[in-house]
Amino acid sequence: MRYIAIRFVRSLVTLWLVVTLVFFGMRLAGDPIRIMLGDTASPADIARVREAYGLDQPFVVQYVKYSANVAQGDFGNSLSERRPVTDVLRERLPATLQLTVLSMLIALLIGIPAGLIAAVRRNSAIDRLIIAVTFVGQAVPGFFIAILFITLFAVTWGLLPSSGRGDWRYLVMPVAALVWGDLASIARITRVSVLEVLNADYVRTARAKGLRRNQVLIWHVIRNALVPVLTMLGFMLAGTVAGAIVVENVFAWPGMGRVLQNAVLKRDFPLIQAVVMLIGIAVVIVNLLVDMVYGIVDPRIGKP
Amino acid sequence: MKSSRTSSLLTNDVTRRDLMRLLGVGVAAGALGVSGARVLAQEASPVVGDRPEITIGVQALPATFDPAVDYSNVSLRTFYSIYDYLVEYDYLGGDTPGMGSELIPSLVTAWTEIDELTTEFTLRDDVTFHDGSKLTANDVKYTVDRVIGPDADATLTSFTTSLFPGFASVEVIDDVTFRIITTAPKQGLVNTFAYGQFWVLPQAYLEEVGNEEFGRNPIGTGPYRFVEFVADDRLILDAYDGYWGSPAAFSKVTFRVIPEDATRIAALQSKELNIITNVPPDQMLQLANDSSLVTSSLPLANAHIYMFNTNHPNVANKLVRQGLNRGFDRKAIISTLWQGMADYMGSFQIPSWGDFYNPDRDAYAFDVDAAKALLEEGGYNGEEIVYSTLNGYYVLGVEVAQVIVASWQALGVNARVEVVDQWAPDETTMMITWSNDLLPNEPSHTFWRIWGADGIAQLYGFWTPQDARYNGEFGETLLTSSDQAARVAAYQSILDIWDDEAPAGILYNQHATYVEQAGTGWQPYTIYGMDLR
Repeated sequence: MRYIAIRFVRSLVTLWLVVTLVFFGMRLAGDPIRIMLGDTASPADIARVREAYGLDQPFVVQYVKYSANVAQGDFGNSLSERRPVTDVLRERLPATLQLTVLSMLIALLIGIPAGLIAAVRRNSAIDRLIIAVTFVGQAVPGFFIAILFITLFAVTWGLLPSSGRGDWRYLVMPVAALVWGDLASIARITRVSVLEVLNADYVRTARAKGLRRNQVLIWHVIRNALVPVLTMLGFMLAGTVAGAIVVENVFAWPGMGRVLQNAVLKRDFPLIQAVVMLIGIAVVIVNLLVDMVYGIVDPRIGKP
Repeated sequence: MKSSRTSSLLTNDVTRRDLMRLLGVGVAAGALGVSGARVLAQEASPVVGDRPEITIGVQALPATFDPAVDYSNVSLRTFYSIYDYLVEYDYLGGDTPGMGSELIPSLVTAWTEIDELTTEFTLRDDVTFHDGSKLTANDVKYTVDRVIGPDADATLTSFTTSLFPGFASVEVIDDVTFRIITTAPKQGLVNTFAYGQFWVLPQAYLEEVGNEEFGRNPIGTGPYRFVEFVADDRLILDAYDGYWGSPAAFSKVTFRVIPEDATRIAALQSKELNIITNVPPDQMLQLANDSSLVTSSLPLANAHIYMFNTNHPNVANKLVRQGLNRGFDRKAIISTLWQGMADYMGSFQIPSWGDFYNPDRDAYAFDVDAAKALLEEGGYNGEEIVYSTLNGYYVLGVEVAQVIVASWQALGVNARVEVVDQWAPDETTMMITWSNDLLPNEPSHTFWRIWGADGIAQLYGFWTPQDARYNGEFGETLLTSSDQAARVAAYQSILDIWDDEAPAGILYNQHATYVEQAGTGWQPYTIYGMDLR
């Protein structure tokens, strides 16, 4: 428990450092008022609006104000949407959660057994097939796969809607495109990990003491082989957010990926900061969960 | 210099514009599964129940529907259906449908110049907002005052003062009469109210709900009323049957946001959409071969240009700038990169400006020898020329910059492209891509507000005309004289100086591109706004 608490505090510090970095980095990288007013605004207009938003004040003053507001749960108003950023996030988060959670679950449900089978049947035809498929999955960009899916399933065969958010039919292609990359990573790392565990002394011992093949696989191999897969899950979440930006764009899915993309393009500071914080919190939570599961999978982890 | 001018009064007779609209509806309805006979029957009835629906795929939608906040190509496209201007251009008039430039009444029926600073307008008395409340002159005054009046809200950002130079106040005479007062005589004033942000907004509703809520749930006087907006997903509008003009052509309009070009095209091909916008020129050629689709492109009221910072020592000599202007082949760029979907411009002028357009003017004739001679005469000696262009903002902006720089390198110019991610020129900038509006009718409200004495280029100090007559007698004549011939002559003198001092180079007048299902028959205009009336 103390281990988890320490990790939690560390994560909060990391999170705040990231938000601070974004706060100053974005302000050095561009001016939202210029973008807001476009290329027909006079210097006087720009100065007037910059003052109205308090962006004429020194960065440090802005930072102190921002920190004080966040501490009170006020994340500010989106500069481009003119409403609280929390409203924007509340509206858009479900769409992204729907895509990412579903795709990660499917990727895990297919990827882990696929990796396991490939490892257990090493050098067999099925192993080669799984390797080949996952190789393609990792090599071909999600963007290309997405366009290919649309061309085949929407334009050529007319089976699925090309884009947008609606009933389950709208979910199929974007989820498949996200699963595509994640699945390959999970299957390949599971395969490597299982192969390593299969050669471990304790597996040989387990077999030697007369356990059945399936018992060895479930209680000794899978359990130990899952540690690196779990580690990767934490990273994958951040990767899935990046993947969601691409997939949400291609499939016109109104989620957080597009919020972040538009916010960056418009230098919508409060919105960018809130999205980064939200992603950070999600990564922290997933990593904490992974840490807790570590303890279950491998009791040695977390003990002094 | 006092003069008086009154526009033609709007009548309730069916105009040619109305007929064309109805014909447009007929074709569109046919494509959407509604019989032509039924649509023709609509002509007799102002309120129609069985109109077709239409779905349009766009690359983006505005983040808010307050015209005082969002002024962009994507907002202009949709606001055109929700709100009305005081006057508008007769886009369907003239030789080329969609390119008409004559001013016609819209919310006002007439305007009269009271004196050189005051113009009086008369509103229609049958206009209602979508909540049923009546439009009055107070709404017009409120629309202006909330953004550029003495107590204006500085966060209402789209009404930049540069777009309304010399605007003083609105004076309400009675419910249907108001006067617009300027600080100096201003020819072309009425044009200001036919484009841009000047949509008339409801005072009572805005005061009741506030700016933020208005941006999320707007009402206007336009042919369609706002129903639903899901950010980055869709905007739904319904026909407003209390509309004062011709009935809306469609019962429901859905704008679907599909940012990726390939997906937008696929959605059209799979018949999920009726029309798509912003189609890349290379895709237009490919789609033109599909018999189930119709492609259309029309010159947009906008030109891509680049602006020089004439203070920068590397481009301070006008002969160097002239040499650079003539040192690449615009026509080749138009025929290759743009696939012909852009028009060559010899200077800051377009044919629809009538007498103001001089077809013989050509400041950009491609001539390698002339360009080299100008550079040499201007003392160019290998200084670096950095061409700044925006990343992903202007269609083909980076590709065109690369071609231009390669052409200059072939002349021996030490040039390179710099890709920047926002339009923020400063003293270190040598030149940067830009776009300038080419609004119909005449140049005083479009050229002058960018390049005039109070225009952006001079305000930023990137260029100060060396010939004092530019801001002086020529500028004054263009803005204030009631003698049209004198104004035309003044504009030609202005362009002589502008071409000679070369504070900028025009690239081309790019086209807006659309693809629709065959039989839709929708007519694009030269503006970003989509007319679905």
